[in-house]
Amino acid sequence: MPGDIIFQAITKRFPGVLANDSISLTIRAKTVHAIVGENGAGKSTLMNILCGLLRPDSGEILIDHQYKSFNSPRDAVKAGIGMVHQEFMLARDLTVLDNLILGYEPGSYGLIKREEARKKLQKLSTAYGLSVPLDCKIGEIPVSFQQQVEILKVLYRGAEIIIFDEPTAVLTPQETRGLFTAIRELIEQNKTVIFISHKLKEVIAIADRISILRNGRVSGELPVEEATEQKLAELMVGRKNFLQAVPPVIKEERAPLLEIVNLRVTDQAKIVRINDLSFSIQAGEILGVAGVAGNGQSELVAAIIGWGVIDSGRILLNRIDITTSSVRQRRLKGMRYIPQDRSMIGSCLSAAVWENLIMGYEFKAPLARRGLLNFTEINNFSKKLIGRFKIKVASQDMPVQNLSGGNLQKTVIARELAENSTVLLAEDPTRGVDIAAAEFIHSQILQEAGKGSAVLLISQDLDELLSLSNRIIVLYDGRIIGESIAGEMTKEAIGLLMGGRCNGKDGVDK
Amino acid sequence: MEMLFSYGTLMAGITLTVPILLAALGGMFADQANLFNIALESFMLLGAFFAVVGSFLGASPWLGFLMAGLAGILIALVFGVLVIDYRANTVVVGIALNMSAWGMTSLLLELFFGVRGFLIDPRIVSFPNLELPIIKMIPVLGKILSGHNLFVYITIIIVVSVYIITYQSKFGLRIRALGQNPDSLETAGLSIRRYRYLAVVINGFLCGIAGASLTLSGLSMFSENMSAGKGFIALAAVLLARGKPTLIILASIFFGYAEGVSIKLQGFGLPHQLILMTPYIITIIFLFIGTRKKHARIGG
Ligand SMILES: Nc1ncnc2c1ncn2[C@@H]1O[C@H](COP(=O)(O)OP(=O)(O)OP(=O)(O)O)[C@@H](O)[C@H]1O
Ligand SMILES: [Mg+2]
Repeated sequence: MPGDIIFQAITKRFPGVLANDSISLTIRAKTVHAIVGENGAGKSTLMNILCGLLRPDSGEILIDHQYKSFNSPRDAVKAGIGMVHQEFMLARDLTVLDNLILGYEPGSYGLIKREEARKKLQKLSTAYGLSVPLDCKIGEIPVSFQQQVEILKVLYRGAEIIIFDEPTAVLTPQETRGLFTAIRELIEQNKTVIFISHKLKEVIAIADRISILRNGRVSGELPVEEATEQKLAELMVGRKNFLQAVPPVIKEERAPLLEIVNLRVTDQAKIVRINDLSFSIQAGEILGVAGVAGNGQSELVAAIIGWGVIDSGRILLNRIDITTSSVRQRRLKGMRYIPQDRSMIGSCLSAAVWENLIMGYEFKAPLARRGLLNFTEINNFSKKLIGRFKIKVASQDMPVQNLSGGNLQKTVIARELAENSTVLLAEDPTRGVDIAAAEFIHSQILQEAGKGSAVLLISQDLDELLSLSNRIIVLYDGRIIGESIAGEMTKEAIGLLMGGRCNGKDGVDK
Repeated sequence: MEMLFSYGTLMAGITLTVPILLAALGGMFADQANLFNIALESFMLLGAFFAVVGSFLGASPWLGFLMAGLAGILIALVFGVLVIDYRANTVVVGIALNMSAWGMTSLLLELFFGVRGFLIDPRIVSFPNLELPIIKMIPVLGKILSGHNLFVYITIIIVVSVYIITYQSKFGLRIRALGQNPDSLETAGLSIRRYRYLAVVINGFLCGIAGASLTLSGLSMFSENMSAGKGFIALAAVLLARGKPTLIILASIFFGYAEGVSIKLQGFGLPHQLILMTPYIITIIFLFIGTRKKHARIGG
């Protein structure tokens, strides 16, 4: 049974940043302690120190009144600490099952008893409503499933102190509820939970106490009874009111800019992923796509951006057929893409911040002349984006894998919105960013639409969808199961449709 | 055409497959652990030499087998220390090992046995050929399955074990996880360094005995640079198969068989050089096809 966890003056410096500046914090045993703070405040750094991935420059950690010094995650695991990391720790070509049991494989003589593991995992996943396809490879499943795999992994390992770093950013409301059931159960079993999130509603719903970090220091701590969203926001970013985004106003009907006509996609296993899907988006319009992950969203995006294999159907951009165009040709025509997976697809982790920012613009003026890079221009370009999107980074020469999760997200968005777009595909654009940044990103997406771009917004966050979209379609099993214009569909109605239930009036294409 | 499938070609193909297959299986473990090891050739050559030494000293092929495995492990540990602990570039270390193995075995040959170029001695004992009772009575199949050198059967046992280790064992799972994302292993509380070393040791052992199969499956002799590029063919199989034992087996059989055919072709008066090139050309073609497929689709 765990005792209190006490951080004593933990300091951690990275080249150019003081990520943790003498942080002292007490986490009481058997409670849910939330840590909030803006992007780059030092939350993940502090947790990585607790789980043995990083070593502090100075300071101590006490658990149950004993000094602990972890040299590797192994030591922390032995001390009963489990962590759901913000960036996934998964092996892409292994199955979900194998990823889940890694290091904790049941069996004797060095051999694995997979059936035993499968039974245990199925029990766990039904108990908490976290469903993952055990036999699929990690690389083949959507990010929200990968997140659930990470959560199941720590539940399966059965740690005493469990850290969740930004676990809900890509989950649907139902999946989040499943996670919360699991967390409450963990507390019942006398475990201790540390919960990090930028969604303040969730924090207030699940936490007992809340600590706020700012610039590597603790800037406040309060019991949940005293917390309101405004108060937390104020402590986090120094401001309590945030603009509620409203969908763009479309004054007159315009010709469709992006058209999807009878699109059909089957995967390698011959399963139909997108079934005769048609829709169009006109210039200046934001079309929201709701749906539980795995209902065709990733295939749809892959088809539009141009790397997916489609069976039939056509994709038109500004009335021109681009079905067979390459990704590059499409991007040259002004198509931009904010992918759900910012680290594998959205960026090159080992490349510098400036390199990530110029990708896709590096071959043409003004960044390049006669095939050579113009570093003065590049410097201006990337400085401007870093400033405009408030990316917190010590130096633009740093590889992006050293950025905090939210700052990596901002880097990807900054690049995609650096120039005017004709079509913007955005998947969970505010994944893992703080409220101030989310507000800014929303305003930028609205601005893109305002300048005449056609925006396809896919999000697990229904509030986000409802506040930005002119129109919402609900995908289920590769079809549009429901469609409505702004303000005509409630969250509940969308929730029902996402589960595959048509409610008569809105239900089309049954 | 006929000689492509003749009994003689088949038997030669099987014998020639053994060293490539063993070395490739060894290389597969390093590859799974994401260590790019081009030094298979040197591991093999050292194995081939020490197999002869062991067999000579103990008058038993089993001692040779053991010494070959140990020699392989030792040189693999050199690779491991440089690459894992000192973070040296794998290719540079690989080239250095490959170049020094030739010189080292030739030097040792002269120091131990006082001969140059090659060593033939009646005290070097090979593994015997094995007639399988009952099985050899089966028409056609019996003639193919029975009568091989013991090394062929050892190889079959090893292939089955490697398959089980890869897919059914904790170790195999951990090595594969390590190669794909070391963080996944580390955050599961396991030591990355330890599993990298284990992969390297197995790599060394299998390549070492692959070398032994060159000297102790009937030939009973050692000659300078005896591995003659087989380690690179094995490497090609490793790169083609990308960690999948089934593909390693198929690729190795293919390369072994191609070599068998090219030896037969010499009887037809085709230019010798052309024939020597055949397995490599085939390797290049296959690498081309194999890697093209991998690039085709990234997402969707
Ligand atoms: N390995 C590293 N090298 C250099 N700087 C780093 C490294 N890891 C983190 N940092 C920096 O330390 C600061 C704190 O990062 P951290 O990941 O702890 O933030 P966070 O609070 O988790 O933010 P987010 O909400 O965006 O996830 C950031 O400025 C980040 O750029
Ligand atoms: Mg973080």
